[in-house]
Amino acid sequence: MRTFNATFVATILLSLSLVSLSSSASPVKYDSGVPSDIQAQMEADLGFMNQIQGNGQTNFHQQIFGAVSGAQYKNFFESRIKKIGLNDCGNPNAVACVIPMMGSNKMWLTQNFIKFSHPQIARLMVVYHESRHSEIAHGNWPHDTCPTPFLDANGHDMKSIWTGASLAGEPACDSTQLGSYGSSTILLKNVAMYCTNCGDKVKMDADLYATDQLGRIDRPDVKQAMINDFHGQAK
Amino acid sequence: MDKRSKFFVILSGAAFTAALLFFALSSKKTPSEVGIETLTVSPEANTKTNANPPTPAKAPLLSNEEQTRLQTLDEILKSKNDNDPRLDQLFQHLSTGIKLAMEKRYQDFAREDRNGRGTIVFLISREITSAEDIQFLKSVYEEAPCTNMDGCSAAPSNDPHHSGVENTSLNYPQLVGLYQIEKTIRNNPQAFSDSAQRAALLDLLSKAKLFPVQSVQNRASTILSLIPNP
Repeated sequence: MRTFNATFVATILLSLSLVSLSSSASPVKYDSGVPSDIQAQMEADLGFMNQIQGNGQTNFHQQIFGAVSGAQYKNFFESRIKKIGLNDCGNPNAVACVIPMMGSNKMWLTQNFIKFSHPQIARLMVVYHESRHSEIAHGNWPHDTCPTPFLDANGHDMKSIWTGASLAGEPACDSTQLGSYGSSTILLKNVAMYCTNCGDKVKMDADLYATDQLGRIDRPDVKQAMINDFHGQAK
Repeated sequence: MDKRSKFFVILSGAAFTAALLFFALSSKKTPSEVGIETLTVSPEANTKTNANPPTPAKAPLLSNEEQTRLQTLDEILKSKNDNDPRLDQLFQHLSTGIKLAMEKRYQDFAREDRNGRGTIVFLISREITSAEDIQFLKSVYEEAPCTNMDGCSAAPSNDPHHSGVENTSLNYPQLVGLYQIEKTIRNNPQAFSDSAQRAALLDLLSKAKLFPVQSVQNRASTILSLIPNP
């Protein structure tokens, strides 16, 4: 009888936990062609974002996302992306994209989302960058054409990747902190600085990838305003 | 169907699920039960290129607790949950033996496993305590750079849109090592005041400055500027 009772209680608890799990999944709808392992990874990554807790935020972060908080990040993503499909995004190394002509509220993931060994925060940076491109009201936040020449802080030519072509003249920059590069940089910098339930690795990754993305801001005054924002000197 | 019937239908479904789970869990054998050496390699290991074949590794003598910790590390990396709190709870104040085992893990991982390799570099560079730690980190800057996430020796991709993310991931182990060294020095400028350690660190940074990737070179230069003359 005692065994039966234990089994009964365990069964009830299991049922409750299954119900709880299903209710915590995002309301985003996946196309039937999206493999289950890609869906599972996306849900796990969004689940991580949705539980973030913070103890502060910068002014720019407040303006774009609100507080450093999983609830805010969940709302930001789910108010922009309603559907997820599978696509190659027109590049063999792409991870995710938004293709406005195929639906602004739809994000496309590629097989590389689980195939490539990016840190979790890098996948999320791409996802949040792309979700910014879903905003029709802002023309999908188009990128700015990088200036020619386009040099880093040490006077070196900014390249696509270290062996690649110059970024000068490419539509791969932002002239505002509100665009996709700017907003994802602000998101990650704030996670690095204010997340209270992120581990050391996640905070390091957020800082590393944000520092790189800051390089895509091509207006020196905007970049300086962002740096000031990160140091609590925003005006 | 009345409420009571519905309840029993739901209950039966849950019980069936529980039974399936119980069966699945109880039939899953532990590595020791099936006679597998506990120093397993990552599931992603050896599936791609490994341009840095490991030197004949001396298998470090590890306690059962340390072997369990290494298995936990494999689980964490397989889960792709970088925010697993066990990375901070279980992987601080590491013994020389477990660091050596982790360095062997690093070599066993496919070169394309940038996050796996970078996580090992993170755990070791977070608490540099010996010349061996610095020697291992130096070897990370002696590697050939990875040119493509799809194959470290493949031709580079050329997608300017997200190339920044790709570039950072390609050089993730190298950037992580420098990030942690810089953090250590900024938090404690006397961290490498011992003359032997200082010399080893300068040697490491000179290697990093020669790594043929601008972002790595820039970070190495920044750190060198932070190190005071003796």
